[in-house]
Amino acid sequence: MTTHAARCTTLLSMFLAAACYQGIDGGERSPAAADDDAPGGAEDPAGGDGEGGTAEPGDPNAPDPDAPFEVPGSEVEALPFHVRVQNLATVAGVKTDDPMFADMYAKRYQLGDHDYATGIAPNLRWTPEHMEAWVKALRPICSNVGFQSRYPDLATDPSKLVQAAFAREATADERLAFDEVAAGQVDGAGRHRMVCLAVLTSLEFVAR
Amino acid sequence: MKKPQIESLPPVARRAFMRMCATVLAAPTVPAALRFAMNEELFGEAHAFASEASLPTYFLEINLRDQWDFGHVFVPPGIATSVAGLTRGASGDALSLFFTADQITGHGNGFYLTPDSQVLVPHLGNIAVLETNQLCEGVIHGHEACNPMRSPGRSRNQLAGQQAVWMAEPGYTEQGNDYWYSSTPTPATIHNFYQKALSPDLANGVTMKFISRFHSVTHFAAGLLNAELSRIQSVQMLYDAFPTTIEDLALPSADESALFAAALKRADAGFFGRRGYDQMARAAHEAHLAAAEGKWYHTPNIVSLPFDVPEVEYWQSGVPDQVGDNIKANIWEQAGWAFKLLSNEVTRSVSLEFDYLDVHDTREESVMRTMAAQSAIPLARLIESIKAIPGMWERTAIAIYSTDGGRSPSANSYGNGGKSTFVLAGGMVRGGYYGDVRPAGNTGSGHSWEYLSPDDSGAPVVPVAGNGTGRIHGGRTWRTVMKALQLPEADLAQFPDVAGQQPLDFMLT
Repeated sequence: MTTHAARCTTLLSMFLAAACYQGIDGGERSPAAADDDAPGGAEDPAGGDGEGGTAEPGDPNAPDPDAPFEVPGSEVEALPFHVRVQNLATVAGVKTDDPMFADMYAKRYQLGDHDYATGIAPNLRWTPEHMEAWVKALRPICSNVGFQSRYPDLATDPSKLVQAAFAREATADERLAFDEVAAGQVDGAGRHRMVCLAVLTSLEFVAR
Repeated sequence: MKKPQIESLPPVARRAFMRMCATVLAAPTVPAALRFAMNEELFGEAHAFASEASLPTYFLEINLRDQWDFGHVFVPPGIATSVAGLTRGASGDALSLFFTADQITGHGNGFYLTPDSQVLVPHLGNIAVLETNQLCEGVIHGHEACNPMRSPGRSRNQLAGQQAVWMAEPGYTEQGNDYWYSSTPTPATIHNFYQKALSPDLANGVTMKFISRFHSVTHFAAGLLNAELSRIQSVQMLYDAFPTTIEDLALPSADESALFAAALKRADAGFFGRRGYDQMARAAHEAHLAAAEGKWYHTPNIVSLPFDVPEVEYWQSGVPDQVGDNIKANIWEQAGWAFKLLSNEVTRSVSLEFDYLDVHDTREESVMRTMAAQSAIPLARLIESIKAIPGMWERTAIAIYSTDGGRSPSANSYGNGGKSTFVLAGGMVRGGYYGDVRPAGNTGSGHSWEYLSPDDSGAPVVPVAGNGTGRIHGGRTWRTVMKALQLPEADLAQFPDVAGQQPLDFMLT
């Protein structure tokens, strides 16, 4: 090993010596000494900005082009924040100012809410960061006593919550997914929590 | 082809030798070029490239609007050497330079600085400036949120393979942004993609959308999955995204997180067909789920973003406040936050967005001096701070764009003519002002100008014509940034508008 280190270090030293030998070109030059003999560019035939008149200032008040209509088909778009909160309130059977939403409101801008007065526009991308904040904000809702009493059988049967959240019955895939997420838990409280989080984080509930 | 020296060792000794050299060469104090040369000499070119690609790089993209003028930061040689005979002033075609010839200092390699930019002198060896880039083409005298240097090939009309670049931008409705399509990812976004692939535990890259109105800067992933930057729209949102203490985890274990992500993937599978999304939407969502799986239980690197008193004194001193409609955050604050995020390995890709509210018709001395201080001082402090961290500077690139066009030297000028500025700083950058702007004639109220681009040696000899001929193609600037960031060149060929473009090698060491 010592031999290897010595060999590598020797080579490193040789390279360093070579690099240092080349030095760095520098030194201060006076304005008068610099670039005096560089060839010039084309004269400006228009007598304008040196580019034949391409530098027309344009009209600062010119109308902006209309926004093209683009369907967001390549990335899912979340429902607006206030719609998600309203839907949560409906599922939980409470008003949107219920204390169970405190964490949700604390993270409202991380979750895409807007406040035009302070220059914050809606952000409806459903990103990993939004998902992280959403699950954290859902936890106190899923563990709320009132919410749990509204869905007492959630640990074993998600159908009532799915009906409330999706306004339809679960598909076979959804049912299988919610069974799987519950199966990983050792007790009823864990199963209740995980099914609640999964139903209320699924795209069917949060996206449009 | 030269035979790698490793082949002269007995096979059983090679592994130990390679391990030893990897340790020695990965030391932060070993310059990248030297490390590459050593790896190439010892192990061959392929190994050298692979080794470089496995090292982290740090990127700070600074986007300045509205049509930022660096005229008090870097004075083109042709102006610096003739300023005594030029008409200077704040209106008409007068040169908007408010220093006299004796106040402008030469520093070699085409650099001439004013008193407003002297703070950059210690770092000029690693700062490259190029102002004869492709012009911006927004309908309102050039204003646009995209920029041909940042997304080469961007078009008003959707060409084959191009997508809308603005879809991920919040509040993208204000005039002066314009609607563009492209197939080339923007710099910080593609860097974010590669760095997260290299280090999946990194926080997502961010862009601080702190322009004082809904003038925007588009960041675009061009189909790279989970590459989009997080859009930070307020200081509070920044602090919420990077809390100073570890929050409760969303889920308590890696196993539970994996189970949760798998369940959502199954539950969501039917959603796309029901709602009319395409397969790309499903792929993007599943990539997001995979990334979220790591976040639900992972404890991120923590950094305290709010400044203490010494930090405020360091970053703020001498930097004027933002000039705009709805002030969000000053440029010195953004620079300080970016440094904290990058130097603490929270993320490796940060973009800043900042503006000086659009000035028309005249440019007073205060405008020029404010923009100079707002760009030169934070840049100098960023460089100084990064250099203080062993090994970081040589793996860092800072790219500054006058994002919606620059200005001609004349006071009454707009971003659809004249200069279109690109500044690249980093440990791998060969400093210099490349190209030139020279007085071409008198107009009565001032001057007309001629522009010269650098040739492939960096010499200012290529005339710029009215049809744009002679300007540096945005693809070359883009490839230069990618090379500085050590992104794998072979991968870049997938983007057709930059595939055939060569980097500006004279800018790099």
